[in-house]
Amino acid sequence: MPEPLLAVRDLHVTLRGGGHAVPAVRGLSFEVHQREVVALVGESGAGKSLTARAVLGMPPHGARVTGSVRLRGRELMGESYAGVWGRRMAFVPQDALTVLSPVHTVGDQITAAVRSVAKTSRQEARSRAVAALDRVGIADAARRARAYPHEFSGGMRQRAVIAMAMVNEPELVIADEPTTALDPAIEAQVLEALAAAREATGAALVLITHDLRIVARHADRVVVMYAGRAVESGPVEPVFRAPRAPYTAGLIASLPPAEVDAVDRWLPSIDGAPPSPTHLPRGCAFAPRCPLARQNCEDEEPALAPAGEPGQLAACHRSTELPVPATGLFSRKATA
Amino acid sequence: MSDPLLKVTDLVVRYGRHTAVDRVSFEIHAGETLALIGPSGCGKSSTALATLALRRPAGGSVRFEGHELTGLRERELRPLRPRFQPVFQDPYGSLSPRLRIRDAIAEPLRAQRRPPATGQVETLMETVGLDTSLGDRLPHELSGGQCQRVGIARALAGEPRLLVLDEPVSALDPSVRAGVLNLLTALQEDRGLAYLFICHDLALVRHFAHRVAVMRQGRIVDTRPARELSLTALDSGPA
Repeated sequence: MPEPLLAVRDLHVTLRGGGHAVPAVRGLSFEVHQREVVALVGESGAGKSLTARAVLGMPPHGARVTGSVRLRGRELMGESYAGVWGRRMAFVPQDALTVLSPVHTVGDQITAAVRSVAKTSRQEARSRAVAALDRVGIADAARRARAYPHEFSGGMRQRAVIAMAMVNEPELVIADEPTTALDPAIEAQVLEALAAAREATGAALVLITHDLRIVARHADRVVVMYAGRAVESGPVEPVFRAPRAPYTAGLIASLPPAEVDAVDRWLPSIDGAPPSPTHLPRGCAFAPRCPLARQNCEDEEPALAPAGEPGQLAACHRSTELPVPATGLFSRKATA
Repeated sequence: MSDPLLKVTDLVVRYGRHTAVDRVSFEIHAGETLALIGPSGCGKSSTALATLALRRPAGGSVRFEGHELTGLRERELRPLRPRFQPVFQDPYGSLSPRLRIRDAIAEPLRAQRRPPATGQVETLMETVGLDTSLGDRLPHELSGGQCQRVGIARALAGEPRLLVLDEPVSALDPSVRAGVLNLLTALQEDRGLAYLFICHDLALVRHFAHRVAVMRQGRIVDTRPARELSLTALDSGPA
């Protein structure tokens, strides 16, 4: 295997809240290879966004970050990100308006992004900005580049941010829930724009989402996070077909099936709720909700270890005992 | 077939000169779920608000259990309101941050000057799958899924016939979504509740609803059985 483009090792992000240390990311490791799409999935509080911000060197104020983040072997943790941002690594946030200025035109902002990393003439930078907008499917890009962000629809703004992230042809793009705020139809267009821009530039992508259907359609590999740790990772196909962590299995089982069963209106559901990061269970964080949990699950937190297909890893004491499909493990009761 | 529980005819809702809902008609029977789908701004939520008599329509009729709601004053609506109740998207935003869960559930009954009978709040909590020990907690001490169950318990307090569910699970974590939907399904089967269900997630709509009305630019452009809904039905997007 060649050296990974991005290697994250034993990442910890600890926040301060109400005088307590809140362990939000707890020893996360993953790799991203060249041109690869890796999805980070998990629900709110799982630590996905904090992971993105830590990898990007932009942790929230007061957060303590430890571990290693290497880009092509070069350690970034504690180092300057100058020359990395924009040129080698770029960010697409959930809300485009957090990165677009309301007082400059979209074209001016992307042009400025070009000139911030390369000495190019204004015209040259401008034409690259227009080409970038064109690549994400903005029709009549030269004219639209003269518009302000508020004159764009939500989907167009998100595509403009993707254009801006991609314009300097970074090696890695980190997109944090880039379509959560959008309609499903617009979501599909934005994800297509992201895929097209990625194809054209050869960038690798870390796609943060809570939507497993987006993962299935767009990612090569997936890292499933729960309570600040990876509970499962691997190539998308085997993880979806035969998950080795009960949490992954529960998430997949609770999706409405593509083929509608004419009789059964019940969805398998995971009882309970994710733990609070300030009151984590002693052992496996999922044990209180897990239908397979035994005593040792409550005593000892399992480590991520090979399970299932090649490349698949799971953090579960009982990963070998998980049936396929695991649908029957989860309750179809009305209430939890 | 029996009379519909809710019959909306030629409903028009305007905001100033903008027509948000343009001659929309549909009906819902007891025990049935009608989903309203369509892109943002197509008039789904305005239709829901007018159905709940929370927004006065510019035209048309909303008949619920035989009562014409559109011309009624708030005083006349008040005794009918417990029969049609909303459940909104944001589980925290729908609850007063300073009311204990027990009081939040009892509030709609008190507002009707029908203080809850002994044990009624506990029964409601059990119905929606909430541990009764949570009664003394405040909303911020509950998870999103638990708060949404409180919202459902509140709506059930007045023994409704119709719930208007505006994106009831889209703000919830994926692992708790299915549990809340199963609860709504069970309530429907037990009590014959009718649901007007607004949702962006077509796979969910197809699973949960009986019929689907597709809205575009203020109009219903298509109504069909949910199982015949194509998951790419909205791919043409808004105009």
